Amino acid sequence: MQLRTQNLTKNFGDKCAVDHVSLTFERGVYGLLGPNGAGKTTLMRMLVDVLPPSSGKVTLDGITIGELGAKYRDILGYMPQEIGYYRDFTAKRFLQYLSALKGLDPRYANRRIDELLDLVGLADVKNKRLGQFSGGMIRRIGIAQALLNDPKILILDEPTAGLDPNERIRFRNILSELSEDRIVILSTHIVSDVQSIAGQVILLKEGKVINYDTTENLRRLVDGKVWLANVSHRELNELKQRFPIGNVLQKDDHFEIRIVSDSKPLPDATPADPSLEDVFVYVFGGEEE
Amino acid sequence: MNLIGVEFKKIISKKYVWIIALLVALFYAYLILNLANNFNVIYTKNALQPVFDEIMDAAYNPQVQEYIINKGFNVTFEEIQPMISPKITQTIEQYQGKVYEGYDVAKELKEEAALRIESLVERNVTISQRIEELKNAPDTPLNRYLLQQYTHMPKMEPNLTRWDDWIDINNSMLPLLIAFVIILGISGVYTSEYTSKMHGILLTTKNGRSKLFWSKLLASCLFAALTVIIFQVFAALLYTHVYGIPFKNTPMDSLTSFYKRPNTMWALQFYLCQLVGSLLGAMVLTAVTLCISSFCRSNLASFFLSGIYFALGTLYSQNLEGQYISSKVTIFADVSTFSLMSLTDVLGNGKVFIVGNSAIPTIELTVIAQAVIFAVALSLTYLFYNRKEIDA
Repeated sequence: MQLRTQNLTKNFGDKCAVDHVSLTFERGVYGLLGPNGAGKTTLMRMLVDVLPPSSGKVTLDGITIGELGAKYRDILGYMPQEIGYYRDFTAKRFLQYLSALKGLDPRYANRRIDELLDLVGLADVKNKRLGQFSGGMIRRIGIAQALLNDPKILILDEPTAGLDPNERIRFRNILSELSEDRIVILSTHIVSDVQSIAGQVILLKEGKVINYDTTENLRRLVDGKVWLANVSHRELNELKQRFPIGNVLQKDDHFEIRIVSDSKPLPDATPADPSLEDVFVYVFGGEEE
Repeated sequence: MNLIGVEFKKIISKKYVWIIALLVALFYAYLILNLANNFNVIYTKNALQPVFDEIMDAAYNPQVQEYIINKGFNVTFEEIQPMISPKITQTIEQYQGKVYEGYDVAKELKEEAALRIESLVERNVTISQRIEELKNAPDTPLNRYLLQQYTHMPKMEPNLTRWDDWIDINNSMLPLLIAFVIILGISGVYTSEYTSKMHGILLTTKNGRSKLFWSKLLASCLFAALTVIIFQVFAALLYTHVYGIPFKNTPMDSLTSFYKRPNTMWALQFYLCQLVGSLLGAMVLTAVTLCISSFCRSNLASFFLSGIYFALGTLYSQNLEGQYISSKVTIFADVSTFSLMSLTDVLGNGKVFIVGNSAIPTIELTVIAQAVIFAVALSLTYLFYNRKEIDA
């Protein structure tokens, strides 16, 4: 199974949100990484055939997804950035409603719903109205609905936003298990999630693919360019003007910082092992994640 | 899972629909019940109904007719009393000495009885004259139509049956209230997918919107049909309480509102047509409201646009009421959804639209136009609802 985008472009008026993106997805987990407005959500919405492209196409095994229509949607699971739900529906009823729309056999659907509610830790509140759910619980119901039809292509837009650390770990484990025989594409603001789950990472900036490689290879981009230094508050402000700064950790009377720089930024700076977050800082500079 | 049931439940689970529908029903009940204490409602028709046949016989008595015509249609009860059945006098005298809100009931009833006889004579004379005029008038489609209708009108009866009041149920107020509740309930059917942000997920499900389209349509039609039935039953109960059920069927031309109109129908038949029209109109309004809802992104915008659609037809139609010819100016009001829901103007007045050498009953055009609007609205709804998103 091969999902491809060929010169995929989307314009909104004068603004080009996605600019001639050509990518190939096969089995595995792909992480979409980029600052706000990079075009991640627009790209995902074109991948799920919700948003028509201005030019270019998305194909599955050589056939455009528009032509495949219901056949494509039958193997698709999608979790949008903003999860839609009906406040008066209970969690179980909401999933039953979507099962019916996904064309699942009612008996299979009920079994699957129980499994998924258990998987996302909502089995105890399955008869509670969604209007009473917290943001994290809604995201978990969003994940469950995307998995209802056991999709071969799973597209998740910001799936871990609003989840607490335990939930995120649980979710990452679920995804790792799922990725064996399907395509999983996810976008997230949390770089560490991509680092732990995604085999391949796509870096997007202003609608263009800046880089597309394995996590390991991307990390090599900043090999020998990540430095650890202890600095004062005044020095930190000065360094911010000159270098992309990664993690800042406040110690007793100073700050321990990660600097991404081609050359040694300070005499007492020490080299550090690069992380995907350092790649993000290096590629996107001071731009907001 | 029964999706129609789920969609129907979604419509009726909105509390504001229930609250506003209840307020609307109470307002309507208040208006109708306020008429209950009127002298005419309590006495005139109720008291004279037992002598309905005698009043009719009097109006068709050649001696009475001749007297009334000679007196220039201005007679008193005492003048015609010797020529009419004594049962009329006996019935009225039961109310001798009774006073209601300053009115001498017996005296008022005598005046009413004389007026009913006089009015029936006058109407028959006028229609006969009209037929003679039409026989000698130029051969135009309108004249042919009017002659055909006037010569086939059933025999006129005294207007004592309460059908005047019952037919008024669907004149304007009730269709407006029904339309208001339907628009309120249905205007959010599709827009709620955007307000609840469900559209993204729905568009990516296998059966997705094509299956939901039919479920939402059938659920909306069910809601509209139930609204019509509930309000029509409620109105009928109110009218039964205030006026009572008409004790007999009567020709439409016997009713004051439709006097001289080229209408050959009977009142019960017309009332049943109004009920069917109310239901069909509600279905068309449902289709239009769904269509508007399918391209709007806010419930409020959908509600107002649907309201404007119905209100424009209503206002236009109400301003042009009372003629029996549809012109190129009035035809848009005559084929409106309101006209179908009311039927008082287009069918009650026996309206026609002249095209070339033919006089086409306007009601036929109303039904055709509304069927076209229904079909177009549903097609557009399907198109709008199943399209992909166009913006970010």
